Amino acid sequence: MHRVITSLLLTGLILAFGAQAAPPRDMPILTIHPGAGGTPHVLSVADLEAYPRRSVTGLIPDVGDHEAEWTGVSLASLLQGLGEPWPARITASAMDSYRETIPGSDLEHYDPIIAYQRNGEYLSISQRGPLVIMYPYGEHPELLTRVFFSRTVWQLDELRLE
Amino acid sequence: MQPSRPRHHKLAMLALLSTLATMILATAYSLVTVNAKYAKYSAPGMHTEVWQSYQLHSETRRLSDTANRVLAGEATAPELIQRLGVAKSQLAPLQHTRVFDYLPEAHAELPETLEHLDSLLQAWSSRLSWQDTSQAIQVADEMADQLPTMLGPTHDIIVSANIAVASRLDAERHDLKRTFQRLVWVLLLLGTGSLLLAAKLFRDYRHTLHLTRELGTLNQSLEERVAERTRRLEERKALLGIILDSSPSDVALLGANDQHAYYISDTLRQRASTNDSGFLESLFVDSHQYTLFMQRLATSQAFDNWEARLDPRSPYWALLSVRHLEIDSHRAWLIWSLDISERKRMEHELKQLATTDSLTGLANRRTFLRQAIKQLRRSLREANPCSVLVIDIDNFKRINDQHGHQVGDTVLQAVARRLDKHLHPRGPLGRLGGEEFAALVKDADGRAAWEIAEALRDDVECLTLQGEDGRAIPVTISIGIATHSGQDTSPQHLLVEADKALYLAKSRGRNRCETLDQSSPGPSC
Repeated sequence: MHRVITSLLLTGLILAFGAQAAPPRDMPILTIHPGAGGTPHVLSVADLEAYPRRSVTGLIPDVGDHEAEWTGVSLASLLQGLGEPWPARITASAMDSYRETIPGSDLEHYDPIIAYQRNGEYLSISQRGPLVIMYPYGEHPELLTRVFFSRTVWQLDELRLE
Repeated sequence: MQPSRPRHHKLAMLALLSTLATMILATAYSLVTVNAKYAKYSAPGMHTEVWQSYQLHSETRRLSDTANRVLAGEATAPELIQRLGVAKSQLAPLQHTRVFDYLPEAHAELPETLEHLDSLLQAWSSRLSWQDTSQAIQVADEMADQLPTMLGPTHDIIVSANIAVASRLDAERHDLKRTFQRLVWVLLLLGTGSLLLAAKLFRDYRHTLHLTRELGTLNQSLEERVAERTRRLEERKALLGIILDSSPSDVALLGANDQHAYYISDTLRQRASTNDSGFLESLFVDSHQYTLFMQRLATSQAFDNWEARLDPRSPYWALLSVRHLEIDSHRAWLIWSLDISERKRMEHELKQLATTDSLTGLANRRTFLRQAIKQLRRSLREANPCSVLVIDIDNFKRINDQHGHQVGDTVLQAVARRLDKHLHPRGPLGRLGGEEFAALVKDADGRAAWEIAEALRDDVECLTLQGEDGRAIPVTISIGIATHSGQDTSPQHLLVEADKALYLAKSRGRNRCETLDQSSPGPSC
């Protein structure tokens, strides 16, 4: 009984303060380390939104997510915008210390995005936001393999270019 | 034994059909199974629960560390909120996964741990905000107190997840193994069925081959027999041709309805002007004869010795024989035609010889008498008068003696020509023998007969014949006349009467006419 009351209370609080909401859009959230002694770029969601938007159809694997429209910035055009050379590979790290290497060729072939919206909604961290590397699974069904599932890094907070 | 064979075949067919049906069903079942597995393994596997459990355990530790750093003033509220969010995201999939159902023994404390952690994280997250540091310190204090106690249970989750995933994989392996086992059985069944079908096919093929060979042999022997028969028929036909061609008779085989020519021998073919339906008509010289022949054909099945004159271009006498036949269920006439021209000619010649006096060409005595009887009867019947003349050359013996038989014959012929000239159209005329002739003059009473006889006598007297020595031979005749005047009489009687009158003429000096009939005109010569 006590627990029920507590949950009800908590729900009320969530609605009141929006603690479950996405982090502030101007909060620095992504660090991009250029290769060999370059200055890191620290970006907020607002910074990313300044770039042209690109939408793909995809999903976060393994967590029961359904296909949705993901909107963000093309990884390739972001790096171009930042004046970074085309990388041979990128190591993407997540807040939960997960990391996976993305080959530079993927940018050319599939043009994955750094998504900040799912079906037009910003994502909270508990919803595996605020940033997710998303591949265009809808356009390229051949990507539905473990290799690309592993490269679909959610709670993205760092990119290392090589 | 005979009826059991079809039953045996029927049973075999049934067995074959049921084998086929089973094979089809098995194939369908296999397709469905394989398709289901295909769909299942189309999506990548989702056995990430161990990793998720490990991440939850790690995140619990990291959250605890961050809380301590907040308490130490080394970290801020956003960092705490971020870690809390990450922890919550780690927890959610584990709360929904069904993998723990695969645990051989249910781990009762698992859901409790997850629920407890969830309620803690919910409570803390609801109290935190991005800017409120004091609240963050308060929450961090609670976290630092509570979270270390959760490290043990979250570790247990890792262990359980590991066992559960292993069990699940094994269950899936087992399921796959069973599927493969079933597929093996199905394949075995299909293989056996195929073998049976192949055996049946092979057997049928051999049977067919055998039958084909037998059929071939039969066909060949049949062909040989047909060829042999054809050859014999040809031989017979050739033989028949030889017989027909060498036969003195001409043959025509004609359709009874349309006179279609089945066969016409060469000579007959040449004689007719056409070989189509008008063949027969064109063959006859006399159309009346043709009509009679056709009438006879219509009424008689067979007849022989029908005499007819054939070939209008060079007519000849033919003896026709007819037989009715049936050819291919059509009525036909088999007509044999024998050329009897020669026979006819000889017949005519014989007749001539038998009835004619060869020297003078007049009828002989017998023929004359026959003709005279016939004519006399006719005259009697018609009540017409008729007279008989008996003519004798005067002193013929002397002519013979003086000039020889040769001249005698010439005299006879000359007299006969005069006789013929005067008497021939008037009735029968003949040489009775020697130098004696006789004639029957129809429609002539005594007077008329007398005038005719006188004219004749006069004409003969005017004959100028010469002997071999160049001297003229005087030729005269004496004529005895007897006239039939209605009473019943005979030629013989009339001849006797005429003979008597002749005798009278001779005795009265020759070269004169005499009659015993008193009503006739008196002697004038």
